Amino acid sequence: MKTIVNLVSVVVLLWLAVLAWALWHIPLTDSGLQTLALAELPNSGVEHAVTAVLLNYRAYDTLLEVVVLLAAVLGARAAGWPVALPLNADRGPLLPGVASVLLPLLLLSAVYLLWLGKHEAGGSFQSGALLGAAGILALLSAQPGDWPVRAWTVRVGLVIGFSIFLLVGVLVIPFSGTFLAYPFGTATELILLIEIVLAFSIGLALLLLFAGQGSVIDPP
Amino acid sequence: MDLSLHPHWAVWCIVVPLLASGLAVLVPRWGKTVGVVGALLTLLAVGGATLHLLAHGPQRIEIGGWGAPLGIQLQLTGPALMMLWMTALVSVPITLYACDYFVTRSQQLRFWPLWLLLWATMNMLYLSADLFNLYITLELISLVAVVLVALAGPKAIRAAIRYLLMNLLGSLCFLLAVALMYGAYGMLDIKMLAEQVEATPLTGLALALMSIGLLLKSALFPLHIWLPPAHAGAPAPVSAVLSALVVKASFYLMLLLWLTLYSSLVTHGLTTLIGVLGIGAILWGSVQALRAARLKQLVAYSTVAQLGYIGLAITLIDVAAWQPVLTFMIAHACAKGAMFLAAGNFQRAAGHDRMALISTALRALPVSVFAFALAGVSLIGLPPSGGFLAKWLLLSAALDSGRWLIALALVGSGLLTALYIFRVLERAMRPGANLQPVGRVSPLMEWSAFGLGLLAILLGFAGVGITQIVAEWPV
Amino acid sequence: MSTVAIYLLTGGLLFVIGLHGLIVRRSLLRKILALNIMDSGVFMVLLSLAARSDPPDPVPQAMVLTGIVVAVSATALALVLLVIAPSRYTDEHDPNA
Repeated sequence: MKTIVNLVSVVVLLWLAVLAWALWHIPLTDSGLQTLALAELPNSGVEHAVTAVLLNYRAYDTLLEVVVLLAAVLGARAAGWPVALPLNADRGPLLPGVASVLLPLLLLSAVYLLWLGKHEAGGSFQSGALLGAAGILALLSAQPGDWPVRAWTVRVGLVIGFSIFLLVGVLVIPFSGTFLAYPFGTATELILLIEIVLAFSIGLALLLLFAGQGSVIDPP
Repeated sequence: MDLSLHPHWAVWCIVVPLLASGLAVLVPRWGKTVGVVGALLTLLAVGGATLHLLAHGPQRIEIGGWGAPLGIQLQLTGPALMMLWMTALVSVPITLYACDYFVTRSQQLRFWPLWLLLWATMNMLYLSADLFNLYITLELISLVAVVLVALAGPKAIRAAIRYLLMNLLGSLCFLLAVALMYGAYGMLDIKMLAEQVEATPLTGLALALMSIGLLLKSALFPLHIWLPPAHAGAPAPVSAVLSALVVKASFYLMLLLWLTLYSSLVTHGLTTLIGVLGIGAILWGSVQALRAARLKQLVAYSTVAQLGYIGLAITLIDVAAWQPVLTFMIAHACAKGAMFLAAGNFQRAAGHDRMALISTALRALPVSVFAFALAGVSLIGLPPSGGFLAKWLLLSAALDSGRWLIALALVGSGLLTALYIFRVLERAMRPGANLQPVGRVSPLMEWSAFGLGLLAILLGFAGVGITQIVAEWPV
Repeated sequence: MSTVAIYLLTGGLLFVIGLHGLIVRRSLLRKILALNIMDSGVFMVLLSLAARSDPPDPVPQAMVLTGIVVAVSATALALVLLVIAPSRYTDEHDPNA
């Protein structure tokens, strides 16, 4: 066993040498697609370059990435991820108190980050992450039975992000001639719509990956 | 406003199964209906894409209208179309089979969204022309495939985790290579990159990383260890998809990259190495298939061996390029799909798949045995099957370029395949008591396996069309 | 040696450290963590590629954001499978577990 570990270490060290040598040869003056991405920014419907890449130039990647998240949730569910998190009936006074202060702040920050994405670093994923955190906090500080959520609303929430994104992508085809090409002058509004539904679905997906579906829906 | 559909068929090949998957999540009750209708509509979209390719030649779709290098492109080419067809031809019978295979409501509920998602994802991979986008599709295929393996229950979960870790490692190697390529050339579009790529050491390392990552995912010997437990342990329709389609997606991508992006860097030494690994895979897989104690293990090891042929075929890409490899992939996809579906039937009827006790189940299900035999004919490479055509193409390419050793390996390995196929068929002839069926095998399950087996044979007649399309509209 | 080069090399180092952990460690949890370290390594390489120009190139930055979500999804799924696997096994033997 010891010799195998040593052997692996030697091979890995060799890899490191090769990799470092290759990285050393990357041209440090090349600016990639920066010039092009910034030049097209006025046509992208947003003012922040990263948001433009995520939701316009390479929106298809973002669509797929939401599908990855959905796949993970469906996967966790299919593998039998606990039907319900064992909620602690006696949580002490601290958790609900903290939650009542933090939850409004988290939700407010999530909305702010979503709005910010148009011209600063921010957007649906940052916002979705905060929503997910808020959901987890709310779940942990809830009493059993505090979550009167119907199963179908969870399903709608899960798929709404990627289906609205996909439908927008398809419905613009007659107007702009291409999948996911926003017609002239509508990019800002469509991107905002997509970001809102994405943030919601992402938040819910993260919550479900943490807790499992049974924790948030009413037992039948 | 332009409402004509025809320029967008390639997009529909992706959108249709994706929307169907969403619908299956939204309304679980409709899962089966959505699955079957979605499968047929996807088949229709692939048909539309074929007509478009025949009428207008290869197509590049600028998603978002930005064009390369800023946006992402889809490309519909001859080889991509063949992969779309391979997936559709195998997926439709598997869809029908799954209708009756998954009995309980909770199984149905889990299977349909994931299955449609997997199909959409594979189509995304075939059509994508963007390196980073390809990384996401690779990752997506792995995640969904892993979950489908885990559907088999608690015992399969260990196999699923190992499968996941291997696949994630493969994706990460690919992603690092994408980063290196972007660092060196500042773009991600395959077609544009192909015009710029120079034979530098940096590009060479990217090629090595991508190849290792993709070979891990394609389970080429000796990187195959995760395959048999995962493929043998999954539910039958899932085993069929994994063995017939999923491993081929990464092989296709490797071939695409080698023949376009890195054509100046792929040396004779590299292809020879793959060929040697291929021979190793054929030997090792065949021997393990001969020794396997369970039927599904036997079929899974047969996949390890048959993937070795693709390795052998890769040594011939300098003289024959796409045609023999694609023909082989499609023939193997149909045959292996049929085999796993038939094996699933035997397992369902007998309640187990132990080779020692399987003969009663074989005798009870003659249609499935026939399906298994048809698939076996194609795997061995007997005329007039698709497998025969593929091996014939490979053989003539090997002989034309004077590579006798490869020709010899091709012929010799057919014998090994025959041995383990007959190991199963021989058990169908044994006399013995009648089967007390444990589970019900519906006619639909038997005939969908049979349909796939028949396809594997009929491909021998359709193969000329395949080679023409690939030759006329290469990447 | 410029700052970008240092970050690039660090990214490569992280990748290799993760790779070592993935191969050598036997515990599945550690393997998953090792994969995450490899992820961080690649992200660092991408971010340093973005930092070659001023203002930074948004395309690799967006790729990292996408990559993070993909990595989170994969990690979450792996952890779910890991948590489920042993508990199911113990359930079979010990009804109280």
